[in-house]
Amino acid sequence: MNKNDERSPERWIRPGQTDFCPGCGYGTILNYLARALEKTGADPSLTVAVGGIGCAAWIPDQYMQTHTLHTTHGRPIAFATGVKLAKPELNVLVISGDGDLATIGTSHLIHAARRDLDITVFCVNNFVYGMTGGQAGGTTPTGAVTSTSPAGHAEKPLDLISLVLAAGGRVRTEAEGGAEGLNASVESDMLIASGRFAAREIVLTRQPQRVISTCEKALAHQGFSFVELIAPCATHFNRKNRIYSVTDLKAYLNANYISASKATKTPLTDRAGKQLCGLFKSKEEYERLVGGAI
Amino acid sequence: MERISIKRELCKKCGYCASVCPTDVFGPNGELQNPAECRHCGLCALICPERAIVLDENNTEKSIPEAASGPGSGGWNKVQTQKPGRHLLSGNETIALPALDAGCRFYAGYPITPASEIMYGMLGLNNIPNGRFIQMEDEISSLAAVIGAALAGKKAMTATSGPGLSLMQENISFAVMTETPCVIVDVMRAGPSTGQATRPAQGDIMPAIWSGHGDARKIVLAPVDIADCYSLTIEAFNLSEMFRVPVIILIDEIIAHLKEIVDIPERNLVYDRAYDPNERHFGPPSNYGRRAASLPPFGGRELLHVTGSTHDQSGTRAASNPDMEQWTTDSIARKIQEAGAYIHWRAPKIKKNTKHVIIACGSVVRAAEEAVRRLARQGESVALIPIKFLSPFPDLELEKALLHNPEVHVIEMNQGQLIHLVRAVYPAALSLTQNTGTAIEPRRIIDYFLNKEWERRS
Repeated sequence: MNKNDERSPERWIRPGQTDFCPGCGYGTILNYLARALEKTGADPSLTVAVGGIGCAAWIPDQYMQTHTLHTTHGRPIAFATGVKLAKPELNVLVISGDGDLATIGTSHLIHAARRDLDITVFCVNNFVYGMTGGQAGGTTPTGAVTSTSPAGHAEKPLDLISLVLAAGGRVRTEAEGGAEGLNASVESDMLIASGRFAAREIVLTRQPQRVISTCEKALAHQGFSFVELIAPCATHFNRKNRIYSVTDLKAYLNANYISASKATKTPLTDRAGKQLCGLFKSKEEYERLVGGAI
Repeated sequence: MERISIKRELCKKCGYCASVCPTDVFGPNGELQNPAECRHCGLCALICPERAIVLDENNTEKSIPEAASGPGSGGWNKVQTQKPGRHLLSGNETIALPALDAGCRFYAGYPITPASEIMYGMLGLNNIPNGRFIQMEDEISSLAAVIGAALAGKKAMTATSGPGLSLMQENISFAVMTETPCVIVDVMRAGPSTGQATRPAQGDIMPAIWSGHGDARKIVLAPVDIADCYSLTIEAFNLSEMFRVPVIILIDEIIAHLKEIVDIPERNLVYDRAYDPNERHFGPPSNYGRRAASLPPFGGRELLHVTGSTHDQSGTRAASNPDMEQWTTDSIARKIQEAGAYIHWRAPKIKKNTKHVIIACGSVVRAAEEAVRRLARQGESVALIPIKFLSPFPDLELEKALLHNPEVHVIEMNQGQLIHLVRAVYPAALSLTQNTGTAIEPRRIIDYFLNKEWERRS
């Protein structure tokens, strides 16, 4: 057996130190993705990792040992659509930031979900535009201090899970197969809402295996799958919002996020304002857990 | 023996390890405090953003998978056409035929007047094996999908009109930078903005030539009739694949909707992308005889790294190196220059005693042809030079054709764009424009030569 064929998560990562800031979780995401990809049994030479512009897009474009496509700002999903349709046998994943996928490029996210395009989108949410100096974006929490909202962000952030679940298309049957089914005419009674796939996970967690398993499920999912990975920007978000250490960061994440399994056992009033983490397969399920229509 | 060690040269002291370790092995900055306490759970190694933590099992670093062996087939082929013979077709109806004959197997587009008929023609892709058609959510994503498909190994095309071309700017520049072959058809309508969406104009000449930010040079072709719509579309795909540049086909609304007889040949010479394993993927080709570097498709064993950042020949980012920036933009410009030499356009022979020369492109050429014919009957000697290649502009050829110093009249359906290209060669050229969203009629050109007046329409 060729030495290079030995299976190890490391074969998905280019060697060397990353350029991410100390305290940034993006290198960790690289670890998670490598392990998830390894678990799915995918082949790096049949995998195309697409990223847009921004720090998160560097995860594939600078450090992943697969085919990589570093696109224009906000458009990685549109590029991925072309790659996937041209070669449906390829394993196409998009890894990019919240500003890229959910602010400038939101329409492509909505339409890829609507088309149920068989790609996996990892949206790395750091709450700000990190690479350009920490400006507020479409996912910046209300009240957060950023370089363009020094007195606290006045707007409401976009809930990406509910967006993707609401936009998500139906699930295709086996017979329709992957992107092949995109143009196939199918009876409308085949709509199965439970087939939608949207997940939210926190990167800095004591249960990394859970995050890896979510990523693995997303990669294995037939049809559009979406994973939001929470990793606040260490340089631009944390410092301005009085998160000075990893301990502070954990406290911040604990105060603002709750896992879906814990949420089911906690009364709504005790988890007000907390966002849900976990894997969600229908809008109704998500709304029920959140406690009302979004 | 310690069960855990830290690669100090990788560690950034973020403290992620300390925050997840159940047994306080690490100090707050990631230093090993109590290594003996390590239970070998592996959480720290998983959470470490730099993969700096080594557990005592073998930590093997893997190298790049071996490249594929065996060269890809490619180069020139004689390819059978699908609908040979004589047809009565409009420009828009025609363009899909040569695209499919040239091997285009991917189309992504967005509806826009007056270009939508091209999209209907490309619907035929769904009936072709390996063919794919998709209607995207906007023109930005249309070109993005086209570029994605092209990088996955397909010949790909999109079609639009002025407002759509505006939306595509950023991705045109991306295609130039990443040397991705693709074909964009722009059907020009009267503008600016929504303007007169169903009316003809030639307002996108400069916007097409200079489309894309940051010195993004490309090839722009301008058919003058329906036969050209066929042959220049084949040429567009060949040039695009050969030189690895986006090619814009510029037609005005008149050519788009004018029905004419077109003779489609039995066979066409079609260039297919070729790639050699282990060749560099970007920049000047290392293989003599090749006009652009070898491009392996996504999904091959040879990993392809594509980036819109300035990059070296292997696609590795070089975003702050002045030499690389100059080298990159120079090599793009050189390709366009070489494309000009390859196209080898020849101006029509002009008699030395011809006093007047009309220079035009697109549908204006048709009106000018008729005017020249009728003027000849009246004893006026006027010649016509149709311009079909707008970028690279055939300036040397034009200079040669105009050596005898005739009076040059550039006629166009805008406020004067082609004139700037001609004046760079022939400063005395006169500009005659009509920006009414209507065709320039032969009558107007004849009147001009007989009465020497190009009055504004009242």
